[in-house]
Amino acid sequence: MADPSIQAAVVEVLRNQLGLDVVDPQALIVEELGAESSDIVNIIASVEERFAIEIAESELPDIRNVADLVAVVEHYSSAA
Amino acid sequence: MQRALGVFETTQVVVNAHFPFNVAIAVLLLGAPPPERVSQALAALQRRHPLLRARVERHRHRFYYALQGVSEIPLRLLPRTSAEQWRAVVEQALATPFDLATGPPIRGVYLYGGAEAAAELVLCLQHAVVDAASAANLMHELLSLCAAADTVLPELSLAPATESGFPPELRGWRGVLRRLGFLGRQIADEIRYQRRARGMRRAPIHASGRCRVLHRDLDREATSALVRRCRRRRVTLNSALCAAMLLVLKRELYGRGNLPLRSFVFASLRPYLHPPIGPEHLGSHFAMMRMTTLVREDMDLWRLAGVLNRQTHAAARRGDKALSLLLTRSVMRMILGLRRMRMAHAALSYTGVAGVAEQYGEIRLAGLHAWVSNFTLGPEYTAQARIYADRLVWDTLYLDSDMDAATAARLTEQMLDLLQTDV
Repeated sequence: MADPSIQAAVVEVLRNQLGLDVVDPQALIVEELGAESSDIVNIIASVEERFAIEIAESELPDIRNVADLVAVVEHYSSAA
Repeated sequence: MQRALGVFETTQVVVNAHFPFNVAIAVLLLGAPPPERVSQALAALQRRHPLLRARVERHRHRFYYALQGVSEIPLRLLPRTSAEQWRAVVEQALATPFDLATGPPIRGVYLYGGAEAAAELVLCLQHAVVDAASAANLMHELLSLCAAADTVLPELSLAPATESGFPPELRGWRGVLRRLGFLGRQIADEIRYQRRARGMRRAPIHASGRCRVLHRDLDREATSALVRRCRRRRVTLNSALCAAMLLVLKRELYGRGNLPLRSFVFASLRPYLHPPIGPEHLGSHFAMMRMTTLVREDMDLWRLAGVLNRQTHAAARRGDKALSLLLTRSVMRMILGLRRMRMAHAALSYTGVAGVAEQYGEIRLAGLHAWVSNFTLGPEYTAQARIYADRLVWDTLYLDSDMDAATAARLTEQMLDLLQTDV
C-alpha cells in the first residue's frame, strides 16, 4: 500500500510538469501521460528536491508508471 | 509475403543499395560460452524473431518482407589473437552491406580462445530490422540463451510498421497539413542556415571513406556526478552530451564566432505508438530529428545544453518525431541523388541505461559497445552513448577520409573532459 502523502506529492509533480488535471496512479508515464525525456528529467529532479533523495539513473528504466515512481521514492526516502 | 515495409524501413533499404547501413553490437565476455552454444542460441532467436529470417522482395514500387527461404544466421568463428582484434571485426562488419534480397539481415563473428579465455561476440544487423531498444533486448536474450540452454522464448509475430501506430491527427487531410507545416519549418531552417553559414567551413564530401571506431567511458563516480549536474540544471543527459560534442567540434573543426551547427537527435517512437511496441519486438522504430543550433562563441556547456533541451522538447511537442519519419524517404532520396551536401555536422545517439545485465550465469560481461555505419554524406563525427554498468559508454565512429585516429581520439577526449570539468 503506497504512502498517501508520497503518492499525492508525486501526482502533484506529474500534474504540474505535464499540465494535466488528473493523473491516474496506474497510468504509464510515457505511453499514457505523454511525458518526453525532458519531462522525465524535470519530474525526477522535482521529486528528488521535494524528498531530499537522489535516485540512481539505473532505476529509471524500471519506473514505468506512477506507482513505480511512488515506490522508488518510498524506497529512497526510507533509506535516507 | 508478410507485410509491406514502412517508410523508415524502406528508407534504410534504399540507403543499403548505396552504402552499408548496419548496426554492430560487441560484447566483451569472460567465462565465454562454447561456440556451439552461441550457434544454438542464435538459431533459437531466429525461430523467435520473424525479422531474423526475413528477406526483402520488391514488387512494383514497394518493398515487402518475405519470411521463407532464408538461411540460418551465419556465425563466423575466429581464433582470438589479441584484446583489440574485435575492433577491426566491428569495422569490417559496419563496412559490409547485407544482401537483403536473400537475407538474413543478421550475422555474427565470435572471437574465441577457449573456455578460460576472454572472448568477444560481434553481432551485426541491417538497421531496418533493429533499433537501440530491440538491439539491447536481442543481446540480452542471446546471452540468456547462452547461459541456460533450456531457456524457452516463445515465437513472436511480425510487428507492424511504425507509422501504422501513429495517432489519427497524422492521417488524412489533417496529416497532410501537419506535414506541410513541418516542411515549411524545414525550408525556413535551411534558409536561415545558409545565411548564417556563409564563409563557414564545409565538411568535404569524399568519394569513399571507411568507418573507424573508438570507445571510451567515464567511471562510475564521473558518470554519477554528470547525472547529478544534468538533474540540477534540468537538462537531459542527451542534451548535455550533444552540447559537449558541438562545442568541441566548433572549436576544433569549424572555428570562432557564432556558427550554426547541425546535429541529429534520435528518439525512440516505441512508447508513443498505438499500441506501444515493446523492445522484445525487433524493428526500427525511431526518429532522426535534425536540429540546427546557433552555437555562440560565449556559450558554455550548460547554456548550450539548455538551448538544445528546449529545442528538442519543442520539436517533440510539435510532433516532429513522427513527421520527420514520414518525410525521411523523400529527404534521403534527395541527399543520395544530389550528393552535394552532408546531412549534419554531428550525430549523437544516447539510448539511456542499457537493458543488458553484467552477468548471465557463468558469463560475465566486461563491456558492451555499439556503432551504426556512417557514410560519406553523413555527419563528420558520430557517437553512440549509453549507461552500462553505471558508466557512461561513449562509442565514437568516424570516417578515415574525414579524420585520422589521433584526431578522433583527441576530439572524444575533449568532449569527455568538458563533461567532467564544466560545472
